[in-house]
Amino acid sequence: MTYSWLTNRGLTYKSILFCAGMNLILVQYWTMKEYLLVLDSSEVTILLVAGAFFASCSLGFVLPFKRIQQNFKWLFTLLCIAQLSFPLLFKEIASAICHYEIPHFTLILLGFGTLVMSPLYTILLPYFIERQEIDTSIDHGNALPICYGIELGGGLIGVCLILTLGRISFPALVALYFLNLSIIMAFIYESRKILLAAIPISLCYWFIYLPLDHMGSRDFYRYETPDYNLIASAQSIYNRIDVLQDDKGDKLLLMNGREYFNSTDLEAFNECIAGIPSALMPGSRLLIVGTGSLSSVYHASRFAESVESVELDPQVVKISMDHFRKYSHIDEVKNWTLHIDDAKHFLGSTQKKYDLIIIDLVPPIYVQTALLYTREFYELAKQHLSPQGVLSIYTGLLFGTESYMDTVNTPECTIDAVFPEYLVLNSDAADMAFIYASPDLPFKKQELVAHLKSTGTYGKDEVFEPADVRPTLHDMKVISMDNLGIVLEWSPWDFDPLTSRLGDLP
Amino acid sequence: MRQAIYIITAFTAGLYFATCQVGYFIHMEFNLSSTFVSYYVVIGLWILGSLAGLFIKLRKLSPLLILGGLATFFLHSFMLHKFPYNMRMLPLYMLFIFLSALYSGYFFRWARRDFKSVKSLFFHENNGFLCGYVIAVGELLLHGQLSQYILPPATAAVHLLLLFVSSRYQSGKSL
Repeated sequence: MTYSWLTNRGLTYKSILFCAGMNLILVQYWTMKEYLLVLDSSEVTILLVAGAFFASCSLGFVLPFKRIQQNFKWLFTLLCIAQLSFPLLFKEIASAICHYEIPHFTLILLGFGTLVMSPLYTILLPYFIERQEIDTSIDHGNALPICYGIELGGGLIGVCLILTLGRISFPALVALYFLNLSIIMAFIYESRKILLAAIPISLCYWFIYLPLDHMGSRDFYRYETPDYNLIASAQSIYNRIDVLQDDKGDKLLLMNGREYFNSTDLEAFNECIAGIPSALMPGSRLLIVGTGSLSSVYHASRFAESVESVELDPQVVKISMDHFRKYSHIDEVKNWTLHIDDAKHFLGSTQKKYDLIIIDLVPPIYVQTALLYTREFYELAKQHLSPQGVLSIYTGLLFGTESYMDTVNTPECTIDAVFPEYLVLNSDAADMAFIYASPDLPFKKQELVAHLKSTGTYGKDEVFEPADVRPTLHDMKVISMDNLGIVLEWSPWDFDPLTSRLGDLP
Repeated sequence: MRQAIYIITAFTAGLYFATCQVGYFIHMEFNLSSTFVSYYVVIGLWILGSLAGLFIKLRKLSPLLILGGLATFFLHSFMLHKFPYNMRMLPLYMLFIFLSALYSGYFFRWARRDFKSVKSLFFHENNGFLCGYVIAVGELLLHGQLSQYILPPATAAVHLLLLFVSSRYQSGKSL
């Protein structure tokens, strides 16, 4: 009997449950990263993937382990192979779905992950509890705490590993995952010989994970952005970061599959969000929230006394330093200090005041980033502005356009609720609007217009004052902690993108 | 009928656990920090609390643990508003999460007796958790943080009511 074999040979049910508990946590962390790459990365995607994960746990709970083990053992082998090839297979399937224009992209991928990853672990717990109750004849109340407790213990270790090992080496975490899986497979196949082969394979995985992942990502990006090649990738605890390069040497920085910076188009963006306000306020003390590609640092630093940046993810800064130095000119910046922290926490726990605060963040596609577009955060930023300090933000849309008028939750409305004075700049080159807001704006419309004339962009670019903006705000809502509708407005939430991304493909 | 009530009780337990867990995380994210520390502190301490709750042998503690868990949930929120962005309060917040999570372990220990199959218990609780998670995050996106103050007590109240009803089916058994 399997159970006896395990107990007698030292590979007890306790170790199996412990490994299953640990892998349940690790697999959730791992698959979320894979999904955020191939699906449109947003809070809605996280919700869908987490939902699929819990659904797959439920599936495991109802499947009859013993019957499958006796009659369909090959299913476990199949699952094991699918998991071993997951970093490559999952992205290849996503690429193939794109290539052959198979509809319902999201649902197929969610279904695939649901069936392959978690049921293998949740199928074990009910089985062991019932075995314990039968074999040891202990009353119903005692087997469950022991078995479930062991699994939870494994889960707790899994969390600790993500926080420690996961931050140092993601492939090591995946290798550990396969080590646990091999122990579980040895139990399923009632053979210790499996361990002899599986343990070296798991350890090898430490080294082959990155090449496998690179191959899969390269093929996936080939369909998404055919002219670019993947040249570097990194996994942080927050993001998957990729760098793509075309034949001309132009580079793209992608976070969780979304383009965050390119070496050409965003020049205008950085000039508007950082360069213009900094030029109009020479000698200012400056804070940039969300450093990312580092390119806004250079634009801001040319006129500033000091520049501080606060960025949540150190890996993003590292990869920008390694691959975007040429574009960011970061080596030329001498008055720059970097803080690795959450912007809310940073501003909430410092007494410092700044003359200019620049919000250079990823769009509000996650709750985490949407919080930095809220009234509460703007009020916090306002408290850290000097009397004539300025907050500089981007809005993502051109002011006054049809798209703007169709939007309900707008930065314009939120800024209007917090700041008495502001100017809105419609930038033709950046294809969006920027807002410079202050309790007492140190430069007026005429000075901004004069600056635009001096750079030759006035005419294409337009400037609006509060009197121009307020009439458009009637049906709009302030973004706040009590209204995070902006996350849904920026997410692929329409029915079509949810079930198929084919419409988005070039 | 009795089995249906037990199933719904397990389902509502999952609803309560998910809304409470999401609520804790959202409050931490909004008022302390959005770093990974907030998320994994909630997950880790919830698991630890569940683990401890599994080994509570005293009976009739369900209402006390649920109401105590809700009290610590609101105390956690109050303290976060009183001392925003203060990481030195983190040990206290960890204690609150641990205390709220005690009931999730305790529930499984004692609910086992009501289910012929252990699969059924985990299946229905997990389905409740799934629904609770989707509702809590969905409500956050639709109605903001206010929903995170309403959902945990609402789901806890429904669960308590069902515990009371199911206890009436059990002669000699109690909450």
